[in-house]
Amino acid sequence: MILNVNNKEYLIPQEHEGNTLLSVLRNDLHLMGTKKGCGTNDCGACKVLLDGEAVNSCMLPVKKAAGKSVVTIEGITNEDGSLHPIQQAFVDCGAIQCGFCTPGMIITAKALLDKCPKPTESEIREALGGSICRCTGYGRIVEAIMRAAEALRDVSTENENER
Amino acid sequence: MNTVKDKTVYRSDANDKVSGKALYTGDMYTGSMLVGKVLGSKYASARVISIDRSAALAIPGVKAVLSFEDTPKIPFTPCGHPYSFASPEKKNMYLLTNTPKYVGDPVAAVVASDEMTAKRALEALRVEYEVFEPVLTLEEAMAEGAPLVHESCPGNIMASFCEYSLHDDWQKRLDASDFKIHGVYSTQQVQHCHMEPCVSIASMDGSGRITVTSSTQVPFYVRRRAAEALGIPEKRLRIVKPYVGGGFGAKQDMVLEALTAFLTMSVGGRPVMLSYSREECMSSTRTRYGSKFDITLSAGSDGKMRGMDMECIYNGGSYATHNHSIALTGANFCRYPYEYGTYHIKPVTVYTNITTGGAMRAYGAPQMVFAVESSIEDLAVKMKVDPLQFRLDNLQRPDYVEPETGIPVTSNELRQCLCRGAELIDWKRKKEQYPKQYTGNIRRGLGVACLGFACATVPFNVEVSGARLTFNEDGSFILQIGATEIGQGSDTAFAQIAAETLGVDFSDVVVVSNQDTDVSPYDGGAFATRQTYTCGSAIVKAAAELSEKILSYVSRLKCIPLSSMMIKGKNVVLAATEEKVMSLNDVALHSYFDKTKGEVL
Repeated sequence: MILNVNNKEYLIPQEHEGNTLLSVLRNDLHLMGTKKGCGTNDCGACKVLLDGEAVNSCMLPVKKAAGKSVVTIEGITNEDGSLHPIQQAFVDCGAIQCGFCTPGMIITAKALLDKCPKPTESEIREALGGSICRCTGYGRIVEAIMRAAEALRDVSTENENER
Repeated sequence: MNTVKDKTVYRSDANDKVSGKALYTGDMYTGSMLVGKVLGSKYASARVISIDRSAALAIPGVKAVLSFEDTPKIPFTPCGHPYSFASPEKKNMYLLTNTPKYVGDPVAAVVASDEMTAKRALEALRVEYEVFEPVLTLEEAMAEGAPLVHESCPGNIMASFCEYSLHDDWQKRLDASDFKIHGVYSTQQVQHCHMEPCVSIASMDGSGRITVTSSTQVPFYVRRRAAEALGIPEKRLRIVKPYVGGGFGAKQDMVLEALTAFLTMSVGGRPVMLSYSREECMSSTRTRYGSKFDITLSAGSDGKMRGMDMECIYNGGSYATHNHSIALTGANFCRYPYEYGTYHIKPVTVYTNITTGGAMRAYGAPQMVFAVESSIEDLAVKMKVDPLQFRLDNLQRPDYVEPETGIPVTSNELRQCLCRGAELIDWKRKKEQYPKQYTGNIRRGLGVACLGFACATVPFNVEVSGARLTFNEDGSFILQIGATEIGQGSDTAFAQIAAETLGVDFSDVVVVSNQDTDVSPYDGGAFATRQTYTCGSAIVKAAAELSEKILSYVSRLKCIPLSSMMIKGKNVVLAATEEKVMSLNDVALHSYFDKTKGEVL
């Protein structure tokens, strides 16, 4: 089968078609940014964007991702290696400690902000419901997403003005 | 120098972590590695009669099936503190066991070409057990004639030393009171749930040296304990610590490292990855263990406490590691905030057939704080005094010196802290208003509690930290430490300390985040709130020494007195005018390459 990840098409070996999306991302495509925290759909460390929705990849059969667009944390970073405004906001707000949940948090934030450019704090907390962090206590993560939303709105206003 | 102080810096590892480029142990897995899996016991107390491996070995891709018979018969403790309370008879863990003592206790391990095959091999193992009656609770373990978790340990008491009292006649002093309460306060098991499950990768080179890459807080302690468990000299082991996805104390023990090393030894040195699932982390690593505190607390009608009698019994689980030293530490911490009048404290740690207790966030303090503060609250209620005022009336003196150790407690500003907190919370008003809420689903309460905490493991242990600063040819610096970044931000703090001491910019100090016991300076690791203090002190020393060397070199080159110069940013400057004498880049190049005046700094 063919899998589209970060705008590239990959041929998945037939014997791995029965594996989970997470396993294929990590073991076949060597995209190690997506983490396995529980393997039971509970912690959100393995979140990726599937057609724009943040989903856990640890129990998702890779076949269910066929014909869809998968974006991992590696695909969030700009092509020139510079950080996406959400990533930058996580850095600026100190929303990272051990970093193991961070890719999943950023994916969750991306899915939220694409749909809802001006979220309230409770909408952010709701969106983070499936993502566990054991270091931070979430405060700075929420703050980072707020700040990212502002930054992204500024960018889109600029784009509007240019037009 | 103020190059760093009062300035905001960003975590040195932030970009790596937000971009998914930060590599944790499991991210180093390559398809050609073998995969190990552990079979945990189905029973909390049992003896393995036999393990039929034939079906597992017949599965293509299965490289090894191992059990107690194959492993070194060397009992060990996974706790690495140099003078740990695990005395020789308290070393009772084995790489794999034939007498499992909790559900999940490793009785066998397999090595296979991939995870699926390894899982199938585990399922194909036929284990015959003789099952015994387990003891799961403190009451069961301490009951008359209870089954023994360890044959050598009568009454299931792991340890009960360090009982102490402030006065010999503590009982008399405690009884000479107007108010007295007695209460039993219990806490339950908690698991750290660090986001990155425990994982190690090991391989052995042609000369028999084994490299273990592992998610650990304590690489040097792991090297010592793993060498001991494997019965090999430390020089054959190299422990590498990459980024760690949280530990909170669970990775303050050796967890999978020695077993993973043993697995690679069993397959001719081929790289093997052994990881625990989330469920296995819960069942088979460590926990903050449950406890039961039996407390009698008394006070006089003047509002002053007269005495506390506290027996703290900890459910230490199945094997000896940090367990009893955690009980002692909790008992120690309770003395910092209050003057009890007198006290008698008796810590007891008990074996049971549950997951082994270990270090977790604040090492014994949370259990103790819950119990002591609850009991203080109960006494205040009985005396009909405001619990905040009761605490204020009984706070420890600011010039308090620990009677047992002679260590002065110099950072006690609890009184100011409580008063300011009460003001901000609006304590008085709320305390009057809140009891009047008799309706509605949501009712608010108000509480206060105090905690004393000490950094580092002194006086029980000595603390050792090393730091190595390298002066690069362009005048920037590389800092190597043995202290481990596990998410708390220590690498960033270390770069700040080095930059501040040297007088250079934060961005000109690069911290090597990974530890490698072959090259990193020695350090205990991440625990006991110790690294910023102990390793930070080592960095200050190293940076001051290097700074002195640089200035003294420039002093000889330029014939300017050392004392009239300093380092500022990228230059050596005159202290009085900040006029540039020489750039650090030029200093470095001269020191490395000048044929007559070159000198390694």
